[in-house]
Amino acid sequence: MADLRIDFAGIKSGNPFWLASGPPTNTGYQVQRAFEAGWGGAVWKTLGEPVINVTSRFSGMHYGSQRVAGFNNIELITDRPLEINLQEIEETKVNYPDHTIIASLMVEPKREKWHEIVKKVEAAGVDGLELNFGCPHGMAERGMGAASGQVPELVEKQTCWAKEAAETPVIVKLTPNITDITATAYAASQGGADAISMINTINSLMGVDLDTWNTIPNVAGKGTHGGYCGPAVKPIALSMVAECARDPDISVPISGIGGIENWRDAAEFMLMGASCVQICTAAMHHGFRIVEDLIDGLNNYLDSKGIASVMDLVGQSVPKYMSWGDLDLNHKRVARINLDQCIHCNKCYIACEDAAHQCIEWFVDAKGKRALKVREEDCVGCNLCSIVCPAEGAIHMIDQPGEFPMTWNERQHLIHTIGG
Amino acid sequence: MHEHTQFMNEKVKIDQILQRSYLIISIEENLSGTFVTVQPQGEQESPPGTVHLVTADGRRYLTSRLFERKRVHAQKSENTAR
Repeated sequence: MADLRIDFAGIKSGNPFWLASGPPTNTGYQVQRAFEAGWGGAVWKTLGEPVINVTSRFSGMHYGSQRVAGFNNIELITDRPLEINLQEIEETKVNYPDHTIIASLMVEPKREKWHEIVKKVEAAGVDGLELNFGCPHGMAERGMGAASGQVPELVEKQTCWAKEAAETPVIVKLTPNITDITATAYAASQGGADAISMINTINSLMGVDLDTWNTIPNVAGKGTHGGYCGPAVKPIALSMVAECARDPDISVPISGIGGIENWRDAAEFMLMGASCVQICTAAMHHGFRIVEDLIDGLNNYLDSKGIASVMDLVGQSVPKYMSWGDLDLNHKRVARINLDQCIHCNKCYIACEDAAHQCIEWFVDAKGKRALKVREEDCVGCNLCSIVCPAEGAIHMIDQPGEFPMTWNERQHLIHTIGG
Repeated sequence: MHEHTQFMNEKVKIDQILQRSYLIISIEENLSGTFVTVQPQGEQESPPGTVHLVTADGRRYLTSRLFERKRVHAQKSENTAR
């Protein structure tokens, strides 16, 4: 059994799986049940001046047979008074002293407001604080959440104010609704953040009902943009984690959030630089007990790799992630069709013919049967045929022995020196 | 014409440039592709010629060969220095 314990910016946790701030961490009842199920930590639903929420609040993006490929919410932060939340945090901490409780916080961008909430929340015994600079709806219209998180100066200043009062580690949760997340990640670290977490939800409108012409979801026939999350956002979140992890100016630990559903997703985020992961949508979809599979799966994976501690996984793939200009232009990969597995559906041919490089063609084999083959010299290795192929193992992408590596950046430098 | 066939035609031209001691005066890249301006070495009075590369593989091949040549030269210089 591998050691799943983590040390995240000084916060010790029994495993890297934390519930992200959201509906599953609204109350002490829920968080205690989550800890009972095995979650290493929980980020309490964002505390601040209690709001009034609307109904309805959630909607799911179902794609084919996949329920909740994406998820949207227009729910705001806690609608319960701070004192009630703090009382439940205190009680939960007493009952589960070895579990991590992080308080998510959001107040107006004023120094005294940050000082006030930080002191009150820390007095309840939390292990750390997460500043919510990411909530994209409702609170942003009041100058908080993403409205703060999209302005690097505000991120730095508010992090600084929180740090002035904080005695526990401060994590800054970043919004993905920005062109370059490293700008706000850098601002957070300049403000003294002990760690950053990403991503919060992405601005979204789930759909329009074609009968009523109402938005989905709608509140009495009216809608607004919400925050998108769930499996569909994982690649976006992963790239943002990777961008921050590879940036030498951002040296704080990262908590990965966004579309994590299973141990594989979690391991990918950790390989790409996250020291722990936060999960919300998957818990809303499948319940707290998914943590059992997360723990078992990660444990088995680490054992199979001969890795003693999950911390040894963190960041291992970061050196493999780089700018496009540093990729090898001379690397050659081609598609190869395995006719024993091919079901002759023609999808690869259509895809290549219509949308790629027209390098799959028909031929007649020795028995007079029509079949498909790749004209490898014209194949650019784009992967499209293997992506659309429904038959497992029918198309393999083969790396071919290539020349010495040459990147775009090296090439441009060479041309420049010659007189380009 | 398949792009590979087009590339093979360009490859022949590139190999000629590199094998016949042409001097590459400039490599210009623009919306129309890559233009390699060359002059036969020792024939400064002859007007320079231009090779137009259209295919991505052609443009890749040219710089790969130039890299190779640069590496060989560097290796030779290193050996001479020893």
